[in-house]
This record gives sequence, C-alpha cells and structure tokens, in this order.
Amino acid sequence: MVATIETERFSRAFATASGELPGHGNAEIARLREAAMARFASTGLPNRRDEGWRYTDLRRLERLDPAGLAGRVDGEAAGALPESLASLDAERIVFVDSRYEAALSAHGALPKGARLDVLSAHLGNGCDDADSILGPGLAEWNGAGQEGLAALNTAMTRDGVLLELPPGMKLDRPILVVHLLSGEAGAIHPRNVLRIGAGAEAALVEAFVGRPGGAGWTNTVLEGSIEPGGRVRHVAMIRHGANAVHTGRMTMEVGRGANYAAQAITLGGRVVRNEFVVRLSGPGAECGLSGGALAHGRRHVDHTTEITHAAPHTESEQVFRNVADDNARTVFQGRVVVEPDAQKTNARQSSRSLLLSPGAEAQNKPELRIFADDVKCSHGATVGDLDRDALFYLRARGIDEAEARALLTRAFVADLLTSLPVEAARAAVEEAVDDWLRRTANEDG
Amino acid sequence: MLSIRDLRAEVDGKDILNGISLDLAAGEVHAVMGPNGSGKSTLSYVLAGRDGYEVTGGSVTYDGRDLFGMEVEERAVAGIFLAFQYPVEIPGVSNLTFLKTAVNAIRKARGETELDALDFLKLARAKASALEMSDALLQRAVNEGFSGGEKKRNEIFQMAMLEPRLAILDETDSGLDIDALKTVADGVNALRSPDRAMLVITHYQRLLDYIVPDRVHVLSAGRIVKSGDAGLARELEAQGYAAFAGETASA
Ligand SMILES: Nc1ncnc2c1ncn2[C@@H]1O[C@H](COP(=O)(O)OP(=O)(O)OP(=O)(O)O)[C@@H](O)[C@H]1O
Ligand SMILES: [Mg+2]
Repeated sequence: MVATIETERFSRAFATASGELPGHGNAEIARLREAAMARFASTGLPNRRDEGWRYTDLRRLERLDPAGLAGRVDGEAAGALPESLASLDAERIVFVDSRYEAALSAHGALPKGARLDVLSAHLGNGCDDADSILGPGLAEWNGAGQEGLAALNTAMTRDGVLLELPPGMKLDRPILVVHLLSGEAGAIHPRNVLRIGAGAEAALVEAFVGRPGGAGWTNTVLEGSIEPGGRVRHVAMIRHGANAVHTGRMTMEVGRGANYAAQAITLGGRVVRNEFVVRLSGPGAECGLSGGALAHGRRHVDHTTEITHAAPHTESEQVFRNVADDNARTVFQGRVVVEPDAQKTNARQSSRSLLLSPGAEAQNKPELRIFADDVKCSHGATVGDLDRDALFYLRARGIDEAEARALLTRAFVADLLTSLPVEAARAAVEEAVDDWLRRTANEDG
Repeated sequence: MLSIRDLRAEVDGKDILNGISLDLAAGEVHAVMGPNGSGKSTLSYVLAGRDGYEVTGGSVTYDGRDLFGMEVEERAVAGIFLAFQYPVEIPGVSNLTFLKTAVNAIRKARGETELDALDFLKLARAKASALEMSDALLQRAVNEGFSGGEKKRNEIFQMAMLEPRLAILDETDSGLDIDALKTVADGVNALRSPDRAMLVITHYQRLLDYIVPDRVHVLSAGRIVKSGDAGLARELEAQGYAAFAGETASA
C-alpha cells in the first residue's frame, strides 16, 4: 500500500522521537524499530475495508495532535491512582503517559531467578535480547492480515514490563501494571512482555486508565509465551476517558499442557478495540477467554479474538458479554481456527449482547475455520433486551425501574465476574461495573 | 382498603375481566375461586400493574387513591404485594441481594432508615427459618432452579420480609406438599392483622381450612358469579363450578 498522509504523519513522529526512545543508542534496537516502522508504513492504520475491521472505525485518530504522536503527552501528572487499584494486592508497576512512575509503584524483589523489569530500563542497559522483545512476534503474527498497529507499537514503544519466570516458579502475588494517560491528547504505545517457563505460574492485571473526560490514544501490545505446563491468568481492564481511543493486541503462545485464562473488560473510552490472539501450539494446551463491554453514550467497543488450535487435544472456551445503552455499539468477533493437525480439539464460544435502549447496537460474529475432522466446536450468540417478566417481578417488590434495570444488567454480566481469572482483581472490576451501573445519564457522555 | 368497581380488562385485544366489583376492608380475608381461565390471575396482575393488561373500564381505589395512577413500584411501596402463581426466575441475582434491595426501597419510601447488611441478614434468617427455608435457598439466584414448592415458599418469605398491607396470593397453595401447606399457611396467618387485608386465590378448600376467609367469591368468565361466607368454599368442593357458572353476581 502507498504511504498515506496518515502514515507520513506517523513516520515524521517516529523520526522526531527515535533519537530519544529507550535503547536508542543500541544499534540492534534501532534496526528493529526502523524495520517495524517500515512494516507499519506499508500497511498503515487499519480501515473498514480490511477484513476484521468492518465494524470499527479508527478515523478519530486523524484528529490527534501531531506532537502527541511522538509520545510526548504533557498533561498534568495524573497523580492519583484509583483507590481500587491502589488497594489491589499485587506487585504494582505504574506508568504515567508511558513513563515509569516510581512514586506510584510498589513492587518488591521477586524470588531469585525471576525477572520483572521495567522495559525502558531493560532496553537501555546493554540489552542483549532485543529481538525477542521488539522482533515481529506473535503480535504481528498474522491471521487476519492487518497487524500494522502492533508494528507501530514496536517502533514507538517507550515502556511497559518484562516478566520472565524460570521453570517451575509460581508467583504468589499477581503483577499489576497500570498505564495512566494524564493528557487530553497524544498517543502512547505500552508494551508488556511475558515469558513463562515450563510449569511456572503467573497472574497479570493490566489496567489502562484515563481521566474522566480524557482523550488521546493508547496502542498497546502484550507479547506472551507459556512453556509446557505453565499457567497464566490475566485481566485487562480498560477505563479510559470519554474521548479516548484504545487499541490493544494481547497475544499468547500456549505450549504443551499449558493454560492461559484471560479476561478483557472495557468500561470507558470512545473507541476501543481489544484483540486476543492465542496460539495453542502444544498438545493439551488450553485457553479460556472472557470479556466484554459496558458501553453508553456514543461509545464503540470491539472485542475481537482469534484462537488457533495448532496441536491435537487442545481446548478453548470463550465467554463474551456486551451491554450497550443509549447509542453505543458493541462488537464481538470470535474466530477459531483448527489446523489440520489439531485433532480431538474442543472449542466452545458463547457471546451474548444486551441492548438497553432502542438506539444501541450489537454485532456478534462467530467464525469457525476448521481444517481437521475430529473436533468439537460450538458457538452460541444472542442479542436481546432485558427480560420484561423479571423487570415486572422486581418492580412488583418495590424496586424502582432504574434500579431494577441495574440489577438485571449486573446479572447479565455475572458470567464475567464468575470467570474472572485473577481473584485479586475482583474488587476493582466490581467497583468499575458498579460505577458504570450508577453513572448519571449525562456523565462524560 | 380496596374497592373494585365494575372492572373490565383485556389482554391482547381479548376481554378477560368483564365487570368485577369487590370491596375488601382492612382486617378481612377474601378468597377468590373459579375454574381455569376464569381471570383470577388476570385480576391479580391488573391490581399489581403488569404491562399488557389493559384496563378498559371501571375503577380501583386503594386507601382512597386511584390505583391506576400509580406505577408498579409505587403500588408495592404503598403496601400491595402479589404472590405470583408462577414466580419468575432471575438468573444472576441472588435472593438476598434482591430482597435487601426491595426491603430498603420500601423502607426508604416510607421514610424509614435503610437496614445495613447485618441487620438485614438477621431479619432474613429469622423469617426464613420460620418458613423452614434453608440458607442455601437464600443465597441462590432468585427462584432459579427452585422446585415448585420452593418457589411458593419463597413468595411467602418475601411477603414476610416486606410486610404488605394488602396481600394478593395467587394459588400459593398449588405445588405445596401437605406439610409445606401448613407452614406456608402459618406464615400467612402470622401476618393477619386488623390493618391488613388479603385476597387469596385458590382452587382448594384445604388452604381455606387453615386460612379461614371472611368472604368467598366465585369467578367465572371474568365475572363474580357468586359470593358467600366460608361455607361457600365447601359447597364448591362438593359440587364443582358448573353449578355456579350460570348464576349472576351477587357480591
Ligand atoms: N397474553 C395473553 N393472550 C391471550 N390470552 C391470554 C393472555 N394471558 C391470559 N390470557 C387468557 O386469559 C384468560 C384468563 O387467564 P388467567 O390466567 O387470568 O386465568 P386463571 O383464572 O388465573 O386460571 P388458572 O386457574 O388456570 O390459573 C385465559 O383464557 C387465558 O388464556
Ligand atoms: Mg391463574
């Protein structure tokens, strides 16, 4: 594709920033970033003609402040960490505008052999594994054909965490990584990298938080791999401001007998796209994905998954629940690919959408691509409104209509709270859900 | 307390209630009996305010207020309680959460302070144990997977918690075993008081042995075709409804 004006803006931003991005003095890192920028320039931003992007429009990004594209987001310091995150029992690493913020972080030493690095420091200090951090990994691995955003992240990323666990190590506490966006505009490209050794276990909570009315763009990547028998539990919570754009690509390679359980839940942001890309690469690998959105106003939230069963006896389960009020739109696209070798696999998918007002819309697009014959795949998708009989029953007990609707809406997303993979995140997720249910109609629109 | 005058109502364009008149005073218990499809549940839904039940004539006043000027939840807050013939299952909402929300909504509307979690739980446990309802049932989602009898017991449990002034019990006895019937009837009788009234819809004399009514009305094709004292129920049990179907109202 010819470089459009859009990609030229990004290339200029990259040229401006490249002299001060973490690891800029390292020739290997510079080469990797430039190669990634070239890949992005050849594809550009996804648009609605691209398969997989039919429902989601990123044109809002054209309005971003050009200076902000280089990652200089100069809002006043975010300062306050939401209380529910501050009190979450975890090793906490906080970034404000994609810069490590020691004052808000609280993490101790991990057991010997484990590594929890702040990415900017890791890239800056004689980094010798740049290729596995900034190489075109699974995030750019390409089923849908459009991974320009992940390439852009590689070129522009400033910070995030690197978590590496040796075989057999099981962490007691989850790792909480918070990315706060303080400004009104600008773009950040956080990147978290997970390498989990054989039989090792970790829990990761990612929180992307913006100011209530905040704008700006967060374009994030998670690159992860789990060696045989390992286990990762992961929650990504998106709570941006009303005008923010969020694109996230969470990828995991799951080895033999390993297990990946993840949930992405979106409660804020004007346009949000969360992608899960999971490759079940060893026999017996399993993954459970869940997630969804609570969206109101004119928000648009898209959860798109792609699970590839690449080995026999692999299992996947997906549970997605979306709620749309006012004129909001939700999208769920769930693709399951079963490769020819992946006999005896089992893939289940359930997506349900709740529409709370006549102007709300929901898309559900399950997609099975099966190239093996001995497999069990199922999916169920529904779109509906609140159960009128239940509403009457609650009101007949004195509960006013607004509260009855909130109770039933919370019940609708109960499946997500049930399948929440990281127990320590429960209070934070519940609070976010309750805040959404209690929102006032005109609140940050 | 409740005054129904020539009430007419339709569902989906079909006339179901064809002029019902009935007066229920504080302290009284009236029974409503009648064949399947005669309009008993329709009457109860119209009184509770369910959508789709369109009032086409007549009036109902409750404590002197026009009932049809009140929203569903306003009626409940004002003390009207309907024990459903078919209680609704609400997956994902626990029985306790539901009831705490209801109790506090009603207390708030009455200007009383809301109960905190502990006081509420104490009250709920006490009322539940009087009705021999297990803790497990309290924790489960509202009516979800409850047996027929458990659902009915849950209705009476809710009634005990909400302490209504006007209780409408729609076939609360059906689906209950003999022991449960006694427990539930005791629960209902415990609420009988000079300032409460009850409308008890039933097919069976047995419930009325426990909850003795002041009046019995026979409903047929959307009209009250006969009214009498508690003896009328026994007559019905012996003769069936056919004998009354042709008679005209004498409420
Ligand atoms: N939604 C509806 N559409 C059409 N007819 C309806 C509808 N709901 C109720 N009816 C009809 O209204 C009539 C009265 O029903 P209702 O449930 O009030 O009877 P009932 O006296 O409570 O009977 P039962 O003893 O079986 O509970 C029945 O003929 C029923 O089929
Ligand atoms: Mg009935």
